[in-house]
Amino acid sequence: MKLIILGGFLGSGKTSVLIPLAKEMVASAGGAADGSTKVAIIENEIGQVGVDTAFTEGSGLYTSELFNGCVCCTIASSLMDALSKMEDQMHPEFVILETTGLARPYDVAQQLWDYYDENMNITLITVVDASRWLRISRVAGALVDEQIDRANYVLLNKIDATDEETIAEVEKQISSKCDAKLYRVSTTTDPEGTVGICREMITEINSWE
Amino acid sequence: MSEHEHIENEEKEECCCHEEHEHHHEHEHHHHHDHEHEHHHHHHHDEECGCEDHDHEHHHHHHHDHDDDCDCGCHDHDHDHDHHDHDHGHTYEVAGYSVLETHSHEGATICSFEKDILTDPEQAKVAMEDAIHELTAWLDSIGALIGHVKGYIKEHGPTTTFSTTGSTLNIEGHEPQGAAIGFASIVFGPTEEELKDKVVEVFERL
Repeated sequence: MKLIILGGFLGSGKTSVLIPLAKEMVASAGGAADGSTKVAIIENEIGQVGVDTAFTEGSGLYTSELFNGCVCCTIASSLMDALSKMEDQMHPEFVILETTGLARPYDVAQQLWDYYDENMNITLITVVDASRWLRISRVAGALVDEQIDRANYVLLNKIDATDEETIAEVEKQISSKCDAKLYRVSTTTDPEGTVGICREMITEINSWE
Repeated sequence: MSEHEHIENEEKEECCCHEEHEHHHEHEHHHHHDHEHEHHHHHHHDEECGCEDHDHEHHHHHHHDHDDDCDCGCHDHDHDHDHHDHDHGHTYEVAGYSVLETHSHEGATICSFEKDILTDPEQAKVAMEDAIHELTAWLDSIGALIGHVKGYIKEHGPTTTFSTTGSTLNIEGHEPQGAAIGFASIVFGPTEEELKDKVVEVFERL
Protein backbone atom coordinates (compact mmCIF):
# COMPACT_ATOMS: atom_id res chain seq x y z
CA MET A 1 0.00 0.00 0.00
CA LYS A 2 1.41 3.34 -1.03
CA LEU A 3 0.34 6.36 0.94
CA ILE A 4 0.22 9.80 -0.59
CA ILE A 5 0.00 12.60 1.95
CA LEU A 6 -1.57 15.54 0.18
CA GLY A 7 -0.88 18.62 2.27
CA GLY A 8 -0.73 22.36 1.91
CA PHE A 9 -2.07 25.48 3.53
CA LEU A 10 -5.75 26.34 3.81
CA GLY A 11 -7.36 27.10 0.48
CA SER A 12 -4.32 26.10 -1.58
CA GLY A 13 -6.38 23.70 -3.71
CA LYS A 14 -5.70 20.31 -2.17
CA THR A 15 -9.18 18.98 -2.86
CA SER A 16 -9.00 20.21 -6.46
CA VAL A 17 -5.81 18.20 -6.95
CA LEU A 18 -7.18 15.18 -5.09
CA ILE A 19 -9.81 14.11 -7.62
CA PRO A 20 -7.62 14.11 -10.77
CA LEU A 21 -4.83 12.49 -8.77
CA ALA A 22 -7.12 9.72 -7.55
CA LYS A 23 -8.62 9.17 -10.99
CA GLU A 24 -5.19 8.92 -12.58
CA MET A 25 -4.23 6.39 -9.93
CA VAL A 26 -7.25 4.28 -10.76
CA ALA A 27 -6.31 4.52 -14.45
CA SER A 28 -2.67 3.66 -13.78
CA ALA A 29 -3.72 0.58 -11.84
CA GLY A 30 -5.42 -0.65 -15.00
CA GLY A 31 -8.72 -1.43 -13.36
CA ALA A 32 -9.45 -3.69 -10.47
CA ALA A 33 -9.67 -7.15 -12.00
CA ASP A 34 -9.96 -8.80 -8.63
CA GLY A 35 -12.71 -6.46 -7.55
CA SER A 36 -10.55 -4.78 -4.93
CA THR A 37 -10.49 -1.05 -4.46
CA LYS A 38 -7.31 0.37 -5.89
CA VAL A 39 -7.55 3.85 -4.44
CA ALA A 40 -8.99 4.98 -1.15
CA ILE A 41 -9.14 8.47 0.29
CA ILE A 42 -8.91 9.69 3.83
CA GLU A 43 -10.23 13.19 4.38
CA ASN A 44 -9.04 14.95 7.48
CA GLU A 45 -10.99 18.06 8.28
CA ILE A 46 -10.39 20.45 11.09
CA GLY A 47 -14.01 21.14 11.93
CA GLN A 48 -16.84 18.79 12.82
CA VAL A 49 -18.43 19.31 9.41
CA GLY A 50 -16.97 17.52 6.40
CA VAL A 51 -17.15 20.08 3.62
CA ASP A 52 -14.38 18.55 1.52
CA THR A 53 -16.07 15.18 1.67
CA ALA A 54 -18.95 16.72 -0.28
CA PHE A 55 -16.51 17.12 -3.20
CA THR A 56 -15.29 13.53 -3.15
CA GLU A 57 -18.62 11.85 -2.46
CA GLY A 58 -19.69 11.88 -6.08
CA SER A 59 -16.35 10.66 -7.40
CA GLY A 60 -17.05 6.98 -6.83
CA LEU A 61 -13.94 6.68 -4.68
CA TYR A 62 -14.02 5.16 -1.23
CA THR A 63 -13.62 7.98 1.27
CA SER A 64 -13.03 7.72 4.98
CA GLU A 65 -13.50 10.80 7.10
CA LEU A 66 -11.49 12.00 10.06
CA PHE A 67 -13.14 15.08 11.46
CA ASN A 68 -12.56 17.55 14.21
CA GLY A 69 -8.85 17.44 14.63
CA CYS A 70 -5.57 17.40 12.83
CA VAL A 71 -3.87 14.10 12.06
CA CYS A 72 -0.44 15.51 12.71
CA CYS A 73 -1.30 15.89 16.34
CA THR A 74 -4.71 15.44 17.91
CA ILE A 75 -6.15 12.48 16.01
CA ALA A 76 -3.07 10.60 14.86
CA SER A 77 -4.35 7.38 16.40
CA SER A 78 -7.59 7.67 14.42
CA LEU A 79 -5.54 7.86 11.23
CA MET A 80 -3.70 4.69 12.12
CA ASP A 81 -7.00 2.95 12.84
CA ALA A 82 -8.44 4.11 9.51
CA LEU A 83 -5.37 2.94 7.60
CA SER A 84 -5.36 -0.38 9.35
CA LYS A 85 -9.04 -0.91 8.54
CA MET A 86 -8.50 0.01 4.90
CA GLU A 87 -5.54 -2.28 4.56
CA ASP A 88 -7.40 -5.23 6.10
CA GLN A 89 -10.69 -4.78 4.29
CA MET A 90 -9.84 -3.25 0.93
CA HIS A 91 -6.16 -3.89 0.20
CA PRO A 92 -5.86 -0.64 -1.78
CA GLU A 93 -2.85 0.00 -3.93
CA PHE A 94 -2.93 3.69 -3.07
CA VAL A 95 -4.32 5.63 -0.15
CA ILE A 96 -4.46 9.40 -0.43
CA LEU A 97 -4.64 11.28 2.83
CA GLU A 98 -5.79 14.85 2.38
CA THR A 99 -4.65 16.64 5.48
CA THR A 100 -6.11 19.76 7.00
CA GLY A 101 -4.61 23.03 5.84
CA LEU A 102 -2.92 23.37 9.20
CA ALA A 103 -1.11 20.03 9.24
CA ARG A 104 2.56 19.34 8.76
CA PRO A 105 2.72 16.44 6.28
CA TYR A 106 6.16 15.29 7.33
CA ASP A 107 5.04 15.00 10.96
CA VAL A 108 2.22 12.73 9.84
CA ALA A 109 4.65 10.61 7.83
CA GLN A 110 7.06 10.38 10.72
CA GLN A 111 4.33 9.21 13.09
CA LEU A 112 3.28 6.55 10.63
CA TRP A 113 6.84 5.33 10.23
CA ASP A 114 7.30 5.29 13.99
CA TYR A 115 4.05 3.74 15.07
CA TYR A 116 2.47 2.06 12.06
CA ASP A 117 5.05 0.68 9.64
CA GLU A 118 8.65 1.85 9.42
CA ASN A 119 8.87 0.70 5.82
CA MET A 120 5.65 2.30 4.68
CA ASN A 121 5.93 3.81 1.21
CA ILE A 122 4.93 7.43 1.74
CA THR A 123 5.02 10.25 -0.77
CA LEU A 124 4.53 13.84 0.30
CA ILE A 125 2.77 16.16 -2.13
CA THR A 126 2.25 19.72 -0.97
CA VAL A 127 -0.02 22.15 -2.75
CA VAL A 128 0.91 25.83 -2.53
CA ASP A 129 -1.25 28.80 -3.46
CA ALA A 130 1.18 30.82 -5.58
CA SER A 131 -1.03 33.89 -5.38
CA ARG A 132 -1.04 33.97 -1.56
CA TRP A 133 2.25 32.34 -0.58
CA LEU A 134 4.16 35.57 0.04
CA ARG A 135 1.40 37.01 2.24
CA ILE A 136 0.81 33.77 4.13
CA SER A 137 4.54 33.37 4.69
CA ARG A 138 4.53 36.64 6.58
CA VAL A 139 1.69 35.52 8.85
CA ALA A 140 2.32 31.80 9.21
CA GLY A 141 5.85 31.39 7.90
CA ALA A 142 6.91 28.57 10.20
CA LEU A 143 3.84 26.51 9.38
CA VAL A 144 4.03 26.88 5.59
CA ASP A 145 7.75 26.17 5.63
CA GLU A 146 7.10 22.97 7.55
CA GLN A 147 4.36 22.04 5.12
CA ILE A 148 6.88 21.88 2.29
CA ASP A 149 9.55 20.33 4.50
CA ARG A 150 10.90 17.18 2.84
CA ALA A 151 8.06 17.11 0.34
CA ASN A 152 8.65 14.99 -2.75
CA TYR A 153 6.52 17.27 -4.89
CA VAL A 154 5.28 20.82 -4.52
CA LEU A 155 2.46 21.86 -6.80
CA LEU A 156 2.41 25.60 -7.28
CA ASN A 157 -1.31 26.14 -7.80
CA LYS A 158 -3.38 29.19 -8.81
CA ILE A 159 -0.68 30.47 -11.12
CA ASP A 160 -3.49 32.03 -13.14
CA ALA A 161 -4.27 34.33 -10.22
CA THR A 162 -0.88 36.00 -10.04
CA ASP A 163 1.93 37.31 -12.23
CA GLU A 164 5.12 35.71 -13.51
CA GLU A 165 7.32 37.79 -11.21
CA THR A 166 5.46 36.54 -8.11
CA ILE A 167 5.51 32.95 -9.32
CA ALA A 168 9.25 33.14 -9.91
CA GLU A 169 9.80 34.59 -6.44
CA VAL A 170 7.67 31.86 -4.83
CA GLU A 171 9.57 29.19 -6.77
CA LYS A 172 12.85 30.70 -5.65
CA GLN A 173 11.77 30.73 -1.99
CA ILE A 174 10.43 27.19 -2.08
CA SER A 175 13.49 25.85 -3.86
CA SER A 176 15.70 27.39 -1.20
CA LYS A 177 13.73 25.62 1.54
CA CYS A 178 13.24 22.13 0.15
CA ASP A 179 14.40 19.74 -2.56
CA ALA A 180 10.94 18.91 -3.85
CA LYS A 181 10.21 18.64 -7.54
CA LEU A 182 8.23 21.76 -8.39
CA TYR A 183 5.32 21.88 -10.79
CA ARG A 184 3.19 24.83 -11.83
CA VAL A 185 -0.52 24.06 -12.03
CA SER A 186 -3.85 25.79 -12.30
CA THR A 187 -6.59 23.41 -11.29
CA THR A 188 -9.30 25.83 -12.42
CA THR A 189 -8.01 27.14 -15.74
CA ASP A 190 -5.93 24.15 -16.84
CA PRO A 191 -7.46 20.96 -15.45
CA GLU A 192 -5.92 18.92 -18.28
CA GLY A 193 -2.47 20.18 -17.39
CA THR A 194 -3.10 19.15 -13.78
CA VAL A 195 -4.12 15.68 -14.91
CA GLY A 196 -0.91 15.39 -16.93
CA ILE A 197 1.21 16.35 -13.94
CA CYS A 198 -0.67 13.88 -11.73
CA ARG A 199 0.03 11.18 -14.31
CA GLU A 200 3.74 12.08 -14.34
CA MET A 201 3.95 11.94 -10.54
CA ILE A 202 2.16 8.59 -10.36
CA THR A 203 4.45 7.08 -12.98
CA GLU A 204 7.43 8.20 -10.96
CA ILE A 205 5.94 7.00 -7.64
CA ASN A 206 5.25 3.61 -9.19
CA SER A 207 8.84 3.43 -10.41
CA TRP A 208 10.12 3.76 -6.83
CA GLU A 209 8.95 0.30 -5.91
CA MET B 1 10.52 7.23 0.53
CA SER B 2 10.89 5.36 3.78
CA GLU B 3 11.85 6.39 7.26
CA HIS B 4 15.41 5.31 6.74
CA GLU B 5 15.97 7.86 4.06
CA HIS B 6 15.26 10.58 6.59
CA ILE B 7 17.45 9.55 9.43
CA GLU B 8 20.07 12.09 8.52
CA ASN B 9 17.47 14.80 8.94
CA GLU B 10 16.28 13.79 12.37
CA GLU B 11 18.00 16.63 14.13
CA LYS B 12 16.09 19.06 11.99
CA GLU B 13 12.73 17.76 13.07
CA GLU B 14 10.60 19.85 15.34
CA CYS B 15 7.59 18.93 17.34
CA CYS B 16 4.38 19.93 15.69
CA CYS B 17 3.26 21.29 19.04
CA HIS B 18 5.64 24.21 19.00
CA GLU B 19 3.54 27.26 18.75
CA GLU B 20 3.83 30.88 19.44
CA HIS B 21 1.57 30.50 22.44
CA GLU B 22 2.28 28.11 25.23
CA HIS B 23 -0.04 25.30 26.16
CA HIS B 24 -1.29 23.81 29.32
CA HIS B 25 -3.41 21.12 27.75
CA GLU B 26 -2.38 17.56 28.12
CA HIS B 27 -1.35 15.49 25.12
CA GLU B 28 -3.22 12.30 24.51
CA HIS B 29 -1.23 10.94 21.66
CA HIS B 30 2.16 9.35 21.73
CA HIS B 31 4.78 11.59 20.37
CA HIS B 32 7.36 10.18 18.09
CA HIS B 33 10.03 12.74 18.72
CA ASP B 34 13.13 12.15 20.74
CA HIS B 35 12.95 15.35 22.59
CA GLU B 36 11.93 16.57 25.92
CA HIS B 37 8.24 15.82 25.86
CA GLU B 38 7.02 12.31 25.96
CA HIS B 39 3.57 10.87 26.19
CA HIS B 40 1.85 13.23 28.57
CA HIS B 41 3.33 16.61 28.53
CA HIS B 42 1.89 19.79 29.78
CA HIS B 43 2.26 23.07 28.05
CA HIS B 44 1.38 26.43 29.38
CA HIS B 45 -1.10 28.25 27.38
CA ASP B 46 -1.77 31.94 27.23
CA GLU B 47 -4.65 31.37 24.91
CA GLU B 48 -7.96 32.47 26.32
CA CYS B 49 -10.85 30.10 26.34
CA GLY B 50 -13.31 32.76 25.41
CA CYS B 51 -15.82 31.40 27.87
CA GLU B 52 -15.72 34.33 30.23
CA ASP B 53 -18.52 36.10 28.51
CA HIS B 54 -21.73 34.30 29.17
CA ASP B 55 -24.03 37.01 28.02
CA HIS B 56 -24.58 35.29 24.75
CA GLU B 57 -27.93 33.81 24.06
CA HIS B 58 -26.88 30.26 23.31
CA HIS B 59 -26.03 27.51 25.72
CA HIS B 60 -22.78 25.89 24.86
CA HIS B 61 -20.97 22.82 26.03
CA HIS B 62 -17.29 22.22 26.10
CA HIS B 63 -16.11 19.00 24.63
CA HIS B 64 -12.64 18.68 25.96
CA ASP B 65 -10.98 17.72 29.18
CA HIS B 66 -8.64 19.92 31.06
CA ASP B 67 -6.64 19.27 34.18
CA ASP B 68 -8.08 20.38 37.47
CA ASP B 69 -5.45 23.06 37.71
CA CYS B 70 -6.13 24.30 34.20
CA ASP B 71 -6.39 28.04 34.19
CA CYS B 72 -8.25 28.43 30.94
CA GLY B 73 -11.17 30.03 32.70
CA CYS B 74 -13.58 27.31 31.64
CA HIS B 75 -14.02 25.61 34.96
CA ASP B 76 -16.60 27.89 36.38
CA HIS B 77 -19.44 26.46 34.39
CA ASP B 78 -20.95 23.24 33.25
CA HIS B 79 -19.17 21.35 30.54
CA ASP B 80 -17.22 18.26 29.72
CA HIS B 81 -13.62 18.30 28.75
CA ASP B 82 -11.47 15.98 26.80
CA HIS B 83 -7.79 16.17 26.12
CA HIS B 84 -6.52 18.01 23.09
CA ASP B 85 -3.13 19.42 22.61
CA HIS B 86 -3.71 22.50 20.51
CA ASP B 87 -7.42 22.33 20.18
CA HIS B 88 -9.70 24.26 22.37
CA GLY B 89 -13.25 24.09 21.29
CA HIS B 90 -16.88 24.66 22.03
CA THR B 91 -20.06 23.19 20.71
CA TYR B 92 -23.26 25.20 20.81
CA GLU B 93 -26.87 24.15 20.89
CA VAL B 94 -28.67 26.59 18.67
CA ALA B 95 -32.12 26.03 17.23
CA GLY B 96 -31.97 24.94 13.59
CA TYR B 97 -28.35 23.79 13.75
CA SER B 98 -27.53 20.10 13.95
CA VAL B 99 -23.88 21.04 14.48
CA LEU B 100 -22.39 24.38 15.46
CA GLU B 101 -18.88 24.38 16.85
CA THR B 102 -15.83 26.52 17.22
CA HIS B 103 -12.29 25.78 18.19
CA SER B 104 -8.80 27.09 17.81
CA HIS B 105 -5.79 25.35 16.33
CA GLU B 106 -2.35 26.61 15.32
CA GLY B 107 -3.45 30.17 15.94
CA ALA B 108 -6.44 29.79 13.62
CA THR B 109 -10.06 30.11 14.71
CA ILE B 110 -12.41 27.55 13.26
CA CYS B 111 -16.20 27.68 13.11
CA SER B 112 -18.22 25.01 11.36
CA PHE B 113 -21.89 24.15 11.23
CA GLU B 114 -24.46 21.96 9.60
CA LYS B 115 -28.16 22.70 9.34
CA ASP B 116 -31.21 21.63 7.41
CA ILE B 117 -33.07 24.27 5.47
CA LEU B 118 -36.42 24.39 3.75
CA THR B 119 -35.45 27.23 1.44
CA ASP B 120 -35.74 26.60 -2.28
CA PRO B 121 -32.28 25.38 -3.42
CA GLU B 122 -31.87 28.18 -5.96
CA GLN B 123 -32.70 30.81 -3.34
CA ALA B 124 -30.46 29.01 -0.88
CA LYS B 125 -27.57 29.26 -3.33
CA VAL B 126 -28.00 33.02 -3.58
CA ALA B 127 -28.41 33.34 0.19
CA MET B 128 -25.31 31.22 0.80
CA GLU B 129 -23.32 33.37 -1.62
CA ASP B 130 -24.51 36.56 0.08
CA ALA B 131 -23.77 35.17 3.54
CA ILE B 132 -20.22 34.19 2.57
CA HIS B 133 -19.61 37.61 0.97
CA GLU B 134 -20.87 39.31 4.12
CA LEU B 135 -18.68 37.16 6.32
CA THR B 136 -15.53 37.69 4.25
CA ALA B 137 -16.21 41.45 4.09
CA TRP B 138 -16.43 41.49 7.88
CA LEU B 139 -13.22 39.48 8.18
CA ASP B 140 -11.46 41.93 5.86
CA SER B 141 -12.81 44.87 7.84
CA ILE B 142 -11.28 43.57 11.07
CA GLY B 143 -7.97 42.74 9.39
CA ALA B 144 -8.36 38.98 9.71
CA LEU B 145 -6.52 36.57 7.42
CA ILE B 146 -8.94 34.26 5.67
CA GLY B 147 -7.45 30.79 5.68
CA HIS B 148 -10.39 29.11 3.99
CA VAL B 149 -14.12 29.68 4.01
CA LYS B 150 -16.10 26.90 2.36
CA GLY B 151 -19.47 25.25 2.34
CA TYR B 152 -21.95 23.13 0.46
CA ILE B 153 -25.65 22.81 -0.20
CA LYS B 154 -26.83 19.26 -0.59
CA GLU B 155 -30.39 18.83 -1.79
CA HIS B 156 -32.33 16.06 -0.18
CA GLY B 157 -32.99 13.52 -2.91
CA PRO B 158 -36.00 11.32 -3.42
CA THR B 159 -36.20 8.25 -1.20
CA THR B 160 -37.88 4.95 -1.91
CA THR B 161 -39.02 2.91 1.07
CA PHE B 162 -39.80 -0.81 1.20
CA SER B 163 -42.13 -2.35 3.75
CA THR B 164 -43.68 -5.77 4.21
CA THR B 165 -45.20 -8.00 6.87
CA GLY B 166 -44.98 -11.06 4.70
CA SER B 167 -47.62 -11.03 2.01
CA THR B 168 -47.35 -7.69 0.27
CA LEU B 169 -44.34 -5.56 -0.31
CA ASN B 170 -45.24 -1.88 -0.17
CA ILE B 171 -42.94 0.37 -2.13
CA GLU B 172 -43.36 4.10 -1.76
CA GLY B 173 -41.54 7.06 -3.20
CA HIS B 174 -40.96 10.15 -1.08
CA GLU B 175 -40.01 13.57 -2.31
CA PRO B 176 -38.43 15.32 0.63
CA GLN B 177 -38.17 19.07 0.66
CA GLY B 178 -35.24 21.25 1.42
CA ALA B 179 -31.54 20.69 1.69
CA ALA B 180 -28.69 20.41 4.12
CA ILE B 181 -26.00 23.02 4.25
CA GLY B 182 -22.53 22.54 5.64
CA PHE B 183 -20.03 25.28 6.30
CA ALA B 184 -16.55 25.74 7.68
CA SER B 185 -14.45 28.83 8.17
CA ILE B 186 -10.83 28.75 9.26
CA VAL B 187 -9.47 32.22 9.83
CA PHE B 188 -6.82 34.09 11.76
CA GLY B 189 -7.88 37.05 13.85
CA PRO B 190 -11.27 36.89 15.54
CA THR B 191 -11.99 35.00 18.74
CA GLU B 192 -14.17 31.91 18.61
CA GLU B 193 -17.07 33.82 20.11
CA GLU B 194 -16.76 36.69 17.63
CA LEU B 195 -16.54 34.34 14.67
CA LYS B 196 -19.43 32.17 15.83
CA ASP B 197 -21.68 35.18 16.45
CA LYS B 198 -20.93 36.59 13.00
CA VAL B 199 -21.44 33.23 11.28
CA VAL B 200 -24.81 32.76 12.99
CA GLU B 201 -25.77 36.33 12.08
CA VAL B 202 -24.94 36.09 8.38
CA PHE B 203 -26.53 32.68 7.99
CA GLU B 204 -29.70 33.82 9.72
CA ARG B 205 -31.22 34.29 6.26
CA LEU B 206 -31.00 30.58 5.49
